[in-house]
Amino acid sequence: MLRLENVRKQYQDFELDITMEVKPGYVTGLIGRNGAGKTTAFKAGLGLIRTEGEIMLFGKPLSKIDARDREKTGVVLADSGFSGYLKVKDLVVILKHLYHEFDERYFTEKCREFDIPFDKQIKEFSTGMKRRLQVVAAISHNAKLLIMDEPTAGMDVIARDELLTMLREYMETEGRSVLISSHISGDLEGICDDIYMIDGGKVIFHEETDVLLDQYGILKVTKEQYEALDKSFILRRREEEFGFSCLTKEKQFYLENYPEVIVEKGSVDGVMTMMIRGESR
Amino acid sequence: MKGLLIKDVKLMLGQLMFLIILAIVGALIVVPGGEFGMGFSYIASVSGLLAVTTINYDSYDNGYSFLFTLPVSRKGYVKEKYVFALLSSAVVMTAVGLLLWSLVAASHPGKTYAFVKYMKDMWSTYRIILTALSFLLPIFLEYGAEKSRYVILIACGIFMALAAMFTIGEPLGELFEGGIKGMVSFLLSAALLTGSYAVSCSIMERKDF
Repeated sequence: MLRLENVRKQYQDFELDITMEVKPGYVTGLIGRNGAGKTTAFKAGLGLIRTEGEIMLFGKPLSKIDARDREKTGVVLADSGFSGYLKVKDLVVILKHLYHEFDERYFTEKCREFDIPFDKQIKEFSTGMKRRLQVVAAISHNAKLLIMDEPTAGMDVIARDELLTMLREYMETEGRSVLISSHISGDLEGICDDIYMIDGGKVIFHEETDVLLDQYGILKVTKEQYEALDKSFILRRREEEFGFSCLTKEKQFYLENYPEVIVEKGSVDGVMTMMIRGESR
Repeated sequence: MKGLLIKDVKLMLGQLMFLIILAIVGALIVVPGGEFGMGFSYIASVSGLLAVTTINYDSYDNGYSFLFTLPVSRKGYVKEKYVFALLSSAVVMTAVGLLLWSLVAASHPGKTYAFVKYMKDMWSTYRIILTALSFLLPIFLEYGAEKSRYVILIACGIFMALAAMFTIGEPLGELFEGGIKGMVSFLLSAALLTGSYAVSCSIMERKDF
């Protein structure tokens, strides 16, 4: 659906160098700290910045993507949106003329459901409301790929849950994909099929979410326990007051062979912290 | 393009109060003396500037990033901006111009300013607008909302200067007379606009958003 192959973008104090893929039927999550390069990666994939390397969207090089292909994407950006001087009632007319498959009924129903006012300038909206509007607009024209940078930012728990439900409903139609970033790892764990972690502009980790949650774990060991540990399956370690935290992809191996060791279940937050803060064993 | 044109019309209509104020200011310039000299300069400035202000709305608050995720190519965007600028400036110019002419005709019954002559001068004004837009559109696309405060000041100067030169300065004004000279002047305006469009496309193609 979307593939970035050795995509590089050099800024004065930051370099993006990334390879990643959003497969058909997949919800792919992108996580990383602030300034890790998530938004730059999104912008690269959307052709908003000039990059080196190869970007393929719907099987075509990005340079060959035309307006009709663009209709097959729905986008939510963290730092940009519809002009604040427009009203939602204006958007209905505009979107109707921009997208051949714009579903006006769905759009207006969802706006009402989310209490989005039709007759108020968008600049008057709260951050959460702006996000909701963008998400509804992105979903309402039968897009094949949703690209969403922090779509849940500024939303309360209920609104986030509603939005994630909407994304799950969206994915019920075959052949659709989503690329999503969020600083709330719980959102990603609940919806993503695979997750990329980036840091310093590079992918530092990629795994299927099920594998991450089922097979990864974090061992909490004293220094003595660590010395006695079979380290074949330790990916990262981090020094702690009590000894070490160790990231492993073979949680079961340690549960079976080291019953005295505390093994925490793998989580996106845990793995990310270990991948960024930890060191190679 | 239709969707973008509608967006720009909606943005422009959002400035309705501003348009009304501009019309009142125009009336204050023209009606007391019953002279259109400054009125034409004013109409040219207002119509042309209004046409390019939608660029500011688009670029404001990092708006281009999102705009170019919509089914809009960069070249398509530039094309729409030119079409919108040409159409909207013509509409605003005609509307404000006719309003001012009616006000002068009503308030100075003794002063005759033939409607046909008036429309001819308006057409001259429109070609001035086109010339000014040829410079202003690439400048606004290059600098966007951030630096536009300064650009607007320069733009006002350009508009007023061009309008004053072409409508008041007789030798240059004659360029817009009919016949071969008129044709040459039209072709020059068209060539300038085409060149300006090419420059604007290249500005947008090389930009990162």
